[in-house]
Amino acid sequence: MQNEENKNMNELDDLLRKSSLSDEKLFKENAPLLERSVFNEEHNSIPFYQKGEKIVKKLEKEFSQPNKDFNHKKWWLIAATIVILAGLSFILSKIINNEPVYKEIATTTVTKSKVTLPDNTTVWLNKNSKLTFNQKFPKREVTLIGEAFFDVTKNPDSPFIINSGNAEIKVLGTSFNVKQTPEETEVTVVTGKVILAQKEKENQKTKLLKAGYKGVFQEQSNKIKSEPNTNKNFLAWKTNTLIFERTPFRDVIKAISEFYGKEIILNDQGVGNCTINSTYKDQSFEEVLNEFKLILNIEYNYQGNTVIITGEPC
Amino acid sequence: MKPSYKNIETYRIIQDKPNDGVRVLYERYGKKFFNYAMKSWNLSDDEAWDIVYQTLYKIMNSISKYSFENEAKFRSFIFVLFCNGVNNYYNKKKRIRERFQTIPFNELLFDESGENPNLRTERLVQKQITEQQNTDDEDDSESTMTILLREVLDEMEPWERILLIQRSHVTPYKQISEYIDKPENQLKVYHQRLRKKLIDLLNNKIKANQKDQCKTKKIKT
Repeated sequence: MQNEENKNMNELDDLLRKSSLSDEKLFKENAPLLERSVFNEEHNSIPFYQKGEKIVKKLEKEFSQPNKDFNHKKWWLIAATIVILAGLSFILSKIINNEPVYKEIATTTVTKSKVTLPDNTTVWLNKNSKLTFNQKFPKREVTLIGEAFFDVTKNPDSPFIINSGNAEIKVLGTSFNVKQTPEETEVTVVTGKVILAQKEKENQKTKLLKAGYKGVFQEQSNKIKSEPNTNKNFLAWKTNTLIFERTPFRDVIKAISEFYGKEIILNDQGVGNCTINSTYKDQSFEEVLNEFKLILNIEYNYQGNTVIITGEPC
Repeated sequence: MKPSYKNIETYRIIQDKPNDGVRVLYERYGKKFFNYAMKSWNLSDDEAWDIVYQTLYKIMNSISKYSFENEAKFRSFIFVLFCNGVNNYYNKKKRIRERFQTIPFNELLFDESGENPNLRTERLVQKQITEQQNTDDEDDSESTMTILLREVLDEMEPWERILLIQRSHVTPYKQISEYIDKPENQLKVYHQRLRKKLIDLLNNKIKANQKDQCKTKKIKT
């Protein structure tokens, strides 16, 4: 009886506490005293100290860049002006000499870009990627390093060509994803048809890819393979959505490691066989890991930049 | 000896040297936030550290947009970010509960009962749906309860509301007594009575609310 009463009282306090933080009127009424309590809090014998240190290190790393930016703002401005002026004079000299001027759009480890080309083709550029093309765009031709999604406008008279390593991708009007690495170029077609070919014209190998298919050009052997695309997350970098349907946790880890660019080690004692059935949209790496904790019996911790996951079999 | 910074100095350190600022913020406020979250809000250490991280991150991320006339303004700014962090945490916790519906396929795979696999699948899926519905019902009643609680609190005297809420945050009676100008030695009794009064008022509201809902249902039928 007494226990029941205590439970009710605790629930009531819980409700009061939450209301005081979410209701504006209640918050204003109580904030001054709560503020005083928080700042009067003693912390001489703080438990779980290591976790706090980890937080500090993580934040220090996160905010180390703005430090430089803040102190050297003026110098950055001067340097940027010089670079712009040098660039302009270079472009002007090229125009005067009638040489082709190449435009280069590059992303960094943290940025992605959406580019509209002179023929209205739209290109979404993933992180760490570079797109180069003749600024006058006499031919519909670009060079790609990295990964990009192309939505090419239809023009039966002028094929759109993408140079990617030793591969050449030729289309008329379609949408598809190109992922280029030093080892291979992978093309996944969403709509229409795409020709994936070897750049070398002598004994040129080609493959016609239809929607729903992916083709892989191997740089060393010059071989082209094609097969139906089974990877639901090939556009995750563009849509910010990861979809897992009865996916073994082992494969889920590979996908999130690639998507977030994090090194993850799974101490697999059976948990890798557990399946995940969920969709993650616009969620941070930490949020996704914490949700895995809710679904599976796992724990994770950081060793430097590497995340170590341990867990029990389901 | 550890350096001692005044709040407004902390602000300057963050502005000029964000790297040092993180450490100063953590030493000066992070530990207080952590202890307060654990002690007054019954959060686990992981939950409390999560909130500390979010709060310090928000401070670092947004501080350059503000300027503060004095120490008090800076403290209030930090405090509001901390409270927002806790509030978001509660909301997010609720959202996560709403979003996930995981069918335990491993149960399907490792069936040792000899039950027909198709029937077993159907039963497990049905179980999931029922559990999800129950969770949804709980969420609905929780939000109704919050609304009714606010209505009841609105009918009370300001000092009564403050006493109830401050005690839910485990604020010492001495501090509350100074704030609402009531004798400290009577506050414990006031608090006990007020909690009973609040529960009675809340129960009456719930009953009235249920009657209203029945009436609406009857009118509909």
